[in-house]
Amino acid sequence: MSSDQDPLFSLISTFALLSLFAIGGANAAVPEMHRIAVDVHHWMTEKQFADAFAISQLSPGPNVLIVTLIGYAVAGVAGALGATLAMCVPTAVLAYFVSRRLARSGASRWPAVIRAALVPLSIGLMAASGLVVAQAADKTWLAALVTVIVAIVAATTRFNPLWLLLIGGALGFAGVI
Amino acid sequence: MALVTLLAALYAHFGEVDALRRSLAGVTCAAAGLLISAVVRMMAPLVKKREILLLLVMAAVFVAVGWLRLPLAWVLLVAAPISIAISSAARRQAA
Repeated sequence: MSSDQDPLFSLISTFALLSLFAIGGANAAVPEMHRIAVDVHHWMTEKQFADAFAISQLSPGPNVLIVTLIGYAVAGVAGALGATLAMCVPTAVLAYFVSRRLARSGASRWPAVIRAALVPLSIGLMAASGLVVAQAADKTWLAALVTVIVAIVAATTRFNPLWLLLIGGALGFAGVI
Repeated sequence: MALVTLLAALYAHFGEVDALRRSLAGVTCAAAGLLISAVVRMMAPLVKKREILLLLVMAAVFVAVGWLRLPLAWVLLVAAPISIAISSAARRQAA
């Protein structure tokens, strides 16, 4: 098997590269993960991807867990471990060197400029994630309505997001959505 | 992580069970709503400060990645320098 056909290899190289572009965290990288896992490599179906996203949102801990789930779907436990490390290590190394540089740069105006410049990028990516997930999940008008209502409730109240997820799950279980 | 790997293994075994499929679909609908609400909250300061150009960059990234499904790396290699130029110019003007 050549290295570019080995799923574990392409899994690790893909996520290692992705981790450097994931401005705004794993949730902002959802469209790219979807593109790679569903459209390019056909590692998962649309439904499996949506389920992996749902499980990662329900689980305690960082949102990067979706990467663990994709890795497991591709190559079992080795895939889960490999994908997660690939997603975390490069970006941690990068963050370490960038923060060391920032600490030395003193009164330079660039850190603040770059921080301000990253804000619209990460919001745009997050919005793209919302669209990709909504397209994967909302197959009926009722489902789309649930998405809209959750968005409004979460944006305007301090209701615990976990409850909103669980209510969505209960509606699904009951066969409403 | 061990917990999630366990969840993944459970999903591999029970993912085809209909009740579970429906429940997860419901969770995903709600999760999409949470993402949208996070976007609204993060956008609020940009809207309040009338950062039109940065909002345009945001919209362009959204369309390129969410709609056109372009590769993330290329989109950012184009959008990041533009965004940095805009924020740099804005800061120079403010100073």
